[in-house]
Amino acid sequence: MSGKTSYYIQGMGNISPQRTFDNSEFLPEISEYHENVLTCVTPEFKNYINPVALRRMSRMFKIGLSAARICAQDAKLEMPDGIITASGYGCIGDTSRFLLEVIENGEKQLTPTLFMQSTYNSISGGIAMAMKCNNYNTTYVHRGFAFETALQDAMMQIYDDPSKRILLGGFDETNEGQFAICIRTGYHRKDFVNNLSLFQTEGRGTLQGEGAAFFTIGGEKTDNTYCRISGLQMVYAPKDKIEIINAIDQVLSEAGIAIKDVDIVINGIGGDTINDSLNNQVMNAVFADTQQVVFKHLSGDYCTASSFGLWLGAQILRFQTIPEIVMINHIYSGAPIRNILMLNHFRGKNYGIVLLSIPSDEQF
Amino acid sequence: MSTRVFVTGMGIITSIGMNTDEHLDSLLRLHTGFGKIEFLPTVHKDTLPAFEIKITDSELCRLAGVPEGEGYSRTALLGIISVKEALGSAHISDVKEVRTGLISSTTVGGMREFEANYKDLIGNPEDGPFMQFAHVVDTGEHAERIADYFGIRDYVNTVSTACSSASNAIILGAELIKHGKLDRVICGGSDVLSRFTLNGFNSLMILDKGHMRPFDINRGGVNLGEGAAYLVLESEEMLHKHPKKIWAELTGYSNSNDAYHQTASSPDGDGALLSMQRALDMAGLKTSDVDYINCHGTATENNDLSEALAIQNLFGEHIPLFASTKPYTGHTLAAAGGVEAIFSLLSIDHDVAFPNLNFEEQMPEITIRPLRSLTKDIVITNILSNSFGFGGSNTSLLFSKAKQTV
Amino acid sequence: MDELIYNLKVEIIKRLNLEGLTPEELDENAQLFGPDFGLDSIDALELIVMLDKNYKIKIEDPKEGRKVFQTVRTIAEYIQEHQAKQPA
Repeated sequence: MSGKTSYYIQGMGNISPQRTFDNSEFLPEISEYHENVLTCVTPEFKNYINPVALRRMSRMFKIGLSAARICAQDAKLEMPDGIITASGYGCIGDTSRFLLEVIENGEKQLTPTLFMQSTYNSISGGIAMAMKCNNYNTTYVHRGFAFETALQDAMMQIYDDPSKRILLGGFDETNEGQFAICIRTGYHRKDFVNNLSLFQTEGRGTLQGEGAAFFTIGGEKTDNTYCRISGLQMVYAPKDKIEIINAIDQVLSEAGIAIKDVDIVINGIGGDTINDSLNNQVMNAVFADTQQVVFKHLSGDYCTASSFGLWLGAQILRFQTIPEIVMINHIYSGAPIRNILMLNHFRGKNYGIVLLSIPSDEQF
Repeated sequence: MSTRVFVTGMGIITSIGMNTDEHLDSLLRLHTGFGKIEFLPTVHKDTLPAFEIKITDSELCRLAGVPEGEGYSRTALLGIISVKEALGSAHISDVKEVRTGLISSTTVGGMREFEANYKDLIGNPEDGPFMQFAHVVDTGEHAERIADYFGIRDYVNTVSTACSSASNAIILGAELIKHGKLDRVICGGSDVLSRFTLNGFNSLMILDKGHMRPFDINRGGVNLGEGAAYLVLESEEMLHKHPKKIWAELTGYSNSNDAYHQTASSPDGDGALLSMQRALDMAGLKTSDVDYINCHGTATENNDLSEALAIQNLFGEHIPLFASTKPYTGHTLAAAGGVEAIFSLLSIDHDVAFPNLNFEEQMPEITIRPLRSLTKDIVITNILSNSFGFGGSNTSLLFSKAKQTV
Repeated sequence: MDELIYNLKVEIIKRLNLEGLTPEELDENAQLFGPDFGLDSIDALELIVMLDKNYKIKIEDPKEGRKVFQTVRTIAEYIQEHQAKQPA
């Protein structure tokens, strides 16, 4: 991407297992969980979705649509130039329910609403209907890259026309069936661990989480702009930490900043000792002297969890404060926070790097 | 962005052929894959016809060159087989020599295997062979199987926008090339018959118990098919450096949303019209430049009326030849955009227009009729290919005949 | 007939998740697919499934469904007519 095009976060809407749906507050209270599944703290859906439409919607649909509405309101966005959603498992609740009906009812007397809403792009279609938006609309579903590929597409749209404003969101929901299967294969933690002690307890597997985080991305600064998105890279199945470090170097050099200029690094480890290994190796090799924060003890782990990470970075930049609950070391000096780099991974195979900035010569 | 994007390779497998040559042969002979479901264990075997690929999973493993018992879903296997052909047809022997990406698409990924093994996966306390399919249901899984098989690592992505998925994968591929992110992209989609999907469509009451008849007054809905289809897109710069056969140029495309209903198209055809108009605008072409439209044409009451009205209203005096090729292959869901892109490219390359099979009587609401007969020795320069999906997703791709040197 | 109509109202409200609507408020002569309730083609399909599940009556053609589902009363009359035809 040319250095001349700017990409701004102009608005956000995040519904997650923490109280995050009100942008005017920043993690005012922390939810502690008594099982390895973290579920959303939700707002009053009636405030965002008309009651006639609400009746048919699954929980994920309500969460996704509400987060999109909160974001659009935050950005004062009435008509997006594009709607791009990202999800690893889509509306898996409806998918599971329909599948169970097929199996248990002998393929008879099936509920069409469940099938209809199970399609991965049902939420992006629902947002388009709610906003009467005929513009660009697509859904990316590639595991731990879903959100990053969506963000990259949004940035390409803006590169072509900086006046564009794209509504972009990642969503995934918890699911009993998937949780059971992931316990069997070691992807989720079998033995109970308190989410707030996740990173103090070694083990195989992560916590299952969920959430919907939406962003309005545009090429122009507005009154409500949070920060710039200054870089994005994905690394697929890296063989070692060097590949990831090279990608980070590329992101930083394209943004014209050095490692020492990174004030905070968001480490997207999920609590799985083995799969977190490369992330931690990179931290030790490159960011040993940098303030590090983590987030998957608050959000849980899911394909599009990096959207929560992005929200976290943008809120840190807006509030110029780092909540104690996310700190994994204590290096932060209190100086203005300008550059935040996120290194996220999903199951040790999909690595995403995002750089957020507030340049020193800019006011937001 | 001034970079031009060209199609240099393609690979396809459906009920009417294992590769591009076999598909051309079937299309010319009017041979379709319509028939009874044999392999999918469903109660609807005798009542709901489909376009099944008459090859077992075992044989597909052999054709793909992968071992059985290692969790390759039928969706992944079809993907590997057709990407293999696509790479071969584009003369790509080393995917690592330049920046190469894979963008696949699917509606339900490995659901066929997941649904067959669901009870064991959830409830069987002992592990067993079913564990190989523990993670096939997520849509990105099959794409990683394909990427890992060919060693593609620069970019891997999966699109899922229902019936327009592969078309959106192709659009994204073009954009990534134009923005200088990749030098070439393999893009398309794969979907197979599953009880989930068959029953899903049946619950919406849009399946025809007979052979589908797009645009016909008596159309009764769609038939499902299975298949995989991929294009290789390359940049102009790549072709300067490594000249090779160009199938066509992707001169225009559009993605827009109906914003009308989750499963129905706007009845006046506005969404479809906008989709085609925007693709033409991007290519800088007039309606009179279009020689043929490969329609979405699912033979549902709603889609065909909406799409026909859109064609009538947009093209006015100069209605091009138009047809749905879905009676040949069934609706291959996510793969449909790729399948029909390949049929469009075959049209351009062989100067032939494929007909809309099973059309007998016109709808009273419109004055236009689809192409009824196979038409050879006809110069096809510009083809529009439409794919309209649930969630209001409307895409149109515009392919144009290209000079062989750029 | 009155009992059938009442049961139908309860089932329709449940099946279509018409929150906040009581059976008393659902007028059996009101057009279900008119402006009052915001129902659409998917709701019509849901009602077809409901008829099959609860009353063992199959509607094969969605067009026939549109005629049957005009009001709660027309649905009740259709059920009575078709249940009378079924073997005991």
